[in-house]
Amino acid sequence: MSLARFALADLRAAWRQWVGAFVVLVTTAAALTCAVAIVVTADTLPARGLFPMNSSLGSLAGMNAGIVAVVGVVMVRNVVDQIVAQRRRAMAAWMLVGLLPRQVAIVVASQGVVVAMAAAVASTPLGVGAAYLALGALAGTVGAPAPPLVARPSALILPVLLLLGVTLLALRRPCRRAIRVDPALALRDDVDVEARRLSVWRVIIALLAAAGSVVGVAAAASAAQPDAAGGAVLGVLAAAALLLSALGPVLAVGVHRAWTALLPDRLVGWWLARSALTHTPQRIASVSVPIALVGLLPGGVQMLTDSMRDSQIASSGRATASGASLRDLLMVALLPSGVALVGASMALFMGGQRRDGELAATALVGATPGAQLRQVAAEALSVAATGALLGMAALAIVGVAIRQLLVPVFPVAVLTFPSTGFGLSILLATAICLVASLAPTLPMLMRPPHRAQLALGD
Amino acid sequence: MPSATLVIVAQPIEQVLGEVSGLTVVYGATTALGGVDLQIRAGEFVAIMGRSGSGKSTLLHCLAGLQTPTSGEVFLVGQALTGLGRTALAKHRRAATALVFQSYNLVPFLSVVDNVALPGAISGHGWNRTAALAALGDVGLTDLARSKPALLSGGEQQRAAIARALAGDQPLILADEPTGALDTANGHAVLDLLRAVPAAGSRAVAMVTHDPMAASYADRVVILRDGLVVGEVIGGGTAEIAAVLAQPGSAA
Repeated sequence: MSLARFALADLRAAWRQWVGAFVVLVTTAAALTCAVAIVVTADTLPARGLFPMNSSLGSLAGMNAGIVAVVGVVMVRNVVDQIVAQRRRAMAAWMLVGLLPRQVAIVVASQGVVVAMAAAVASTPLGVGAAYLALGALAGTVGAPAPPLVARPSALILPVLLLLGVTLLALRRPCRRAIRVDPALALRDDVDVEARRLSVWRVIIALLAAAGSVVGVAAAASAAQPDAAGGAVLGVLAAAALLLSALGPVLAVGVHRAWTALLPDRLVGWWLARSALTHTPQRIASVSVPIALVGLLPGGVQMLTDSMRDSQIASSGRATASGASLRDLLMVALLPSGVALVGASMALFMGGQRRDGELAATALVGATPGAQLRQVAAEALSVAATGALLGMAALAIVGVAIRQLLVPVFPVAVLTFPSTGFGLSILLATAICLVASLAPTLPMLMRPPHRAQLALGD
Repeated sequence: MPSATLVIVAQPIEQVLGEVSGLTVVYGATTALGGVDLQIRAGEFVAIMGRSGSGKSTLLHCLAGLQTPTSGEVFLVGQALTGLGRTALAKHRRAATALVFQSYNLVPFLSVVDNVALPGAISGHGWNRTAALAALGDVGLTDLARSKPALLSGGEQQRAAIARALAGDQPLILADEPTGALDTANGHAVLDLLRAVPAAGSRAVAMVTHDPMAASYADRVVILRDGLVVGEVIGGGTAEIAAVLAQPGSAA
């Protein structure tokens, strides 16, 4: 049997493990299709006329596509990483029957690409539909009729190529992890507790993002124009998202450990939640970083628009600019935030599916189903709180940039905290993560306890 | 008319800690247990023996309230388990029994000492790590108290599970093949620990095993075959238990 046929046969047998990755890939692909379709459509609009937004619309959609691609790489990597962590025993068994570590990585990579291509096909109608709705909504904000969606081959091919790039970048680390699987260890202990480490790549990406932001802000500040400030802040937001994606996974574990250490151990559910999460640090990173992104993007946009409005009021007593409405925030941040939110939910959902053993072990020493649910809920809430802390830190960086840009434009620069954009996004993300955590746990708790106990021997 | 004298001799009444009565468990067309009666009294070490499929683990699971019988009654430290909801059952189980399984069932993300202290913490008594360390000292695992279970050998994990059972004050310890995954030396060590539990008189151990040597540690060996109790050996050695187990019919 060739390696390709083996990979496909294994994918057919273990397709359930890939469902989470498929969902994240479909979301990423749909967001990319939507953004690219808007860029292509904006490109055909006249510079002046019924819809005089072609330039800003194209830039906004292009920036969205870029952020979606970055966020997509992180989310897809998280879920595929989790698949590799959960399939270590299977991979060890492949190695024991003669597969080389390199071939195991090829199997993982080819399965990832196949799932990505299936996701590309499934996502096209979703992405086109989303673009149609977005154009209609954008036209509504300026009182113009919705421009017709332009159908060009490039609008369909480009998202597929972008998704392929996202997938290949995202597969790099899981494949390296698959290569490092030690059959002896994997067959003995099914849990992979490897933490994210600071690597040269993370540092390089972080430095590039920081340098890009500083240069952009400096250029916009010297221009001293509100339009330039707006463009620069969007760039800073993209850079902050990149920074968060690179350093967030490393920082998240420390932040989580630090603040949860303040919880007293007599709160047994919280203590168990803390212990469970610190035992598998990749779970903290996989969920808290996306939640931070979900808060950062709309939060940053609202911070810019509200700060400009409030600075105008503070400087001249009246405002020509309005603050960000919920609709504006959705327009700007929905696509990348949606991808991040789906990524976080899938990471929690997939992790939750493998908890029979842990739940059985606590049940057998007397934990009631209610206590077990509280522990799972505490895990979701604590990791969401860690995400909120990371998001606030990233937002503080964006705030510094916004202040730098406002000072040359307005006599009185006011920085406004984006309570709606950040707070509502974090609350929504927390609620969804809570559901994603509890959903796979409930069926386990409904089973007869001895069946859960027997699952320990799997 | 001759006079009659009534002499009353006081005898200790042993408390029944676990009891099943007319216990039947049916899986589809298969009868796992076909009307079993059994009592486990305080101060007893009872071994439940039988070949694979004889229903011994099913009996232990019913006794622990982990499995609902098709019919019959289960009493755990005076409480009938029939009709108890999941939460009430979990609370009564944690107060009445400590469970030891072949697969250790240590919580993987907690240190060994926290695993031993966990039942007390879950019961609302706090993390009594001092008592947990003392229990680990009893089984010779003080040095590994801060380690995660995955770093321990099978024998060490099983001793940690025994320490967890010993650290609590539950009157009945239920053990399902506790030596099944251990080598001979570790098996003897675990059995010695279990045999010491009922010596104080207030606690009891019920152990499922298929190994006559392990069963020889018990005060009483109950033999199951095809879901029925077919015999009982009291104070027997390995050879005697093996011989009874090998008999095709009932034995006494």
